[in-house]
Amino acid sequence: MTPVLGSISLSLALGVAFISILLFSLFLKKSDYRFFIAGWRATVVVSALTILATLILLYELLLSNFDISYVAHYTSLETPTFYKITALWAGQSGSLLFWLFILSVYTLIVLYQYRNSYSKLMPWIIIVLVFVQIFFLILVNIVENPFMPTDADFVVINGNGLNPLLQNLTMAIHPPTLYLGYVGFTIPFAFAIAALVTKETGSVWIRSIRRWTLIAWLFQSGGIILGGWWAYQELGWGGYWAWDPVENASFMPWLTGTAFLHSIIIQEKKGLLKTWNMVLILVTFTLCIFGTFLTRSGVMSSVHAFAVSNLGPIFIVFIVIILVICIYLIISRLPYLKSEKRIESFTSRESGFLLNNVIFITICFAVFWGTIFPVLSEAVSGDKITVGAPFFNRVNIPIGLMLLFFTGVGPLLAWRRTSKDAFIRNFSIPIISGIAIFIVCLIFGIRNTTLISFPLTAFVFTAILIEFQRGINSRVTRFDESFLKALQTLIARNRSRYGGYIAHLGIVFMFIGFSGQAFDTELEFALKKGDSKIFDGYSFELVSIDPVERPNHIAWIAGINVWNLEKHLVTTLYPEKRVYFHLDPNPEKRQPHSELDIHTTIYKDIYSIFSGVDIEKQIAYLKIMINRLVYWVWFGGYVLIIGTMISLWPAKEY
Amino acid sequence: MEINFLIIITFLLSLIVWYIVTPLIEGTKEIPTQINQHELNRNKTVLLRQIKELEMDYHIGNVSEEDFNNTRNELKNEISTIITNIKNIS
Repeated sequence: MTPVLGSISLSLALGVAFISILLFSLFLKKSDYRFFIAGWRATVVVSALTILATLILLYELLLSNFDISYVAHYTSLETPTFYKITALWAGQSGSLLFWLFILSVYTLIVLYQYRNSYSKLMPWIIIVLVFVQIFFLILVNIVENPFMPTDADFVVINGNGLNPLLQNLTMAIHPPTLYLGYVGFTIPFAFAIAALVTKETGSVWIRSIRRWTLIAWLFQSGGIILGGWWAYQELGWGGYWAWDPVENASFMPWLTGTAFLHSIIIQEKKGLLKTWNMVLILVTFTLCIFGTFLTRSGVMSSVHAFAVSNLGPIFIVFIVIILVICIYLIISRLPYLKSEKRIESFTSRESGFLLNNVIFITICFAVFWGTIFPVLSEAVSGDKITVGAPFFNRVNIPIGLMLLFFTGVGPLLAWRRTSKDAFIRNFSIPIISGIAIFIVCLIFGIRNTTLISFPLTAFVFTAILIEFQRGINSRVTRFDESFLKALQTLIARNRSRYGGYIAHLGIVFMFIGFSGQAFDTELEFALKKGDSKIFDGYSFELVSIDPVERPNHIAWIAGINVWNLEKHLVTTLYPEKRVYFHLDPNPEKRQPHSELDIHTTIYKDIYSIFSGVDIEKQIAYLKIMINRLVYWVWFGGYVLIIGTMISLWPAKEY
Repeated sequence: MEINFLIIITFLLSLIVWYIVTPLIEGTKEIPTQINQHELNRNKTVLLRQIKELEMDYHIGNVSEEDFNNTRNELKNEISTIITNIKNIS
């Protein structure tokens, strides 16, 4: 009975969504507020029904009701309860329902946030949100219904179970975080469309969506970082970013979203870049849908794509509809998007922001081109030409370093124009620190890309510190505050700005981590129990190979003592070789998996992978990687998240 | 079992119809004034915050005096218009 209720909820939600659009259309035609309230309530019902359907599917997953095909495909009796919950977004139909669930929660928040206020934008904002909901409701009702019964003429006693790669805490959090980002951009998109339709293209819509954009961006950033962390500790290739199509799909809207976050400051403060901002947010949302399409359509092979389906054409139609509407609206509203002022000088903060925007878009285009190139090449020549990491690195590393440089330059420039004196005063210390680090790198014999990246990180780090120092000095002089009090009040009263600078510091730390890749080393070898192998300043001694049986897999755990050359024990690593579903009578269903172990310090990670085992001879086949400065990538991620959260924290009301 | 299920569905449908249709019967055609007022107050708060940020930029040295005075006056005028609108509504 309950699964049927889930199906009915989704069908009802689709029907009520159309009624909601009808009611808002009547309101816009007749200006009768009663239709607005009725439409508002209909939208609440659509969201509530979607949430109900999601909770029902979750309940069925926890109950292991294998009469539902989705439950039988993605869980088994042995699946731990926590992963039964995460199975909600493990498969195609579940993840589409989850997308819709998040959108419904966001929609409810928007509805209640503005329940006591009304602007000309509101009906159109809700119409756009419901329009997106309708698309996903059509998918989960007609194409990929998560409540479809199991297609078997016998009673299903046990399900397939969850993919072992997904049975990881980070992977459990990564997709919902990323989805919160993807879906979050629907809100600023809805505001932008509403602004275009109503010709209210001033700063009102920009002021309204700044926080929403930041929330979406925060989750998108968090999702990408978690995805990298999952890849690093689960996939066993030693890296965190492979320029995989699905990774790129999440990175592209992040790039345009970041550009948007910066350029709306210019519109808010100077009335510039109105058309540019519109284009950016519309492109960001379209890229979010494109990202969902890449992940869910199976059009690209990816380590992150856990679903293959025929959803591609439907998504393409939706993307084309969005693009046509956006292009039409922007062209027809161009007279209303003219800037009130012009950029007066190249040495202004406005120019800095614009350059920074151009770089973001250039990287985005390069990533987009590299991502869709295999599909295009196949369509044109019949041969699928894959563009790998070397292409992305060759193109994006120099542009990324330029971006890093402008991250430091922007805050040092004044609005409108920077005088020669101010230029020298603001730039001299960061430039000196950059040159100092460059010389240190030369002395230590560094001759790779880090010869540029380390000095640049020093330049940006110092530039941010100087921006803090200028703010603190201003407070100390004006209010006679102590240094610490001035720092505290500075951040507390200007959360948006200084939170942003802290996020920039996070990016600097992450670049330090990225630079470390230039020094990474690795070695594959076989080791007999009791033997040791010397590699990159360490001795690896295999002390044990122990079998362990757990509820849904069997594992062999290698115990490896890691000694430094001074014969001190650094750590003991325990990488595992696992076989999931080992009790399944069908050998094809048993899935081998390497669970690695990492020893982390701020300088380097010792990364161990247990590739294979010969139990009779007591031999372990191992791969050891020494990855430099990876810690700084994650540390930078934390700083970035903290900075963004400070920016998001509600400011004092005046 | 099936009767219970039908009762639940009928109840759910009735509840939805009642919730959506009620404002069409009981509501008013005009937008309530306090709703417009709330939106104007929200805009006023944002503009006041922008003035504070501008003052800070000026004291740090990121904005010239001329630019500071012009922008502050523009923002103050915008706030004055909003306050007038709020007074008119109330």
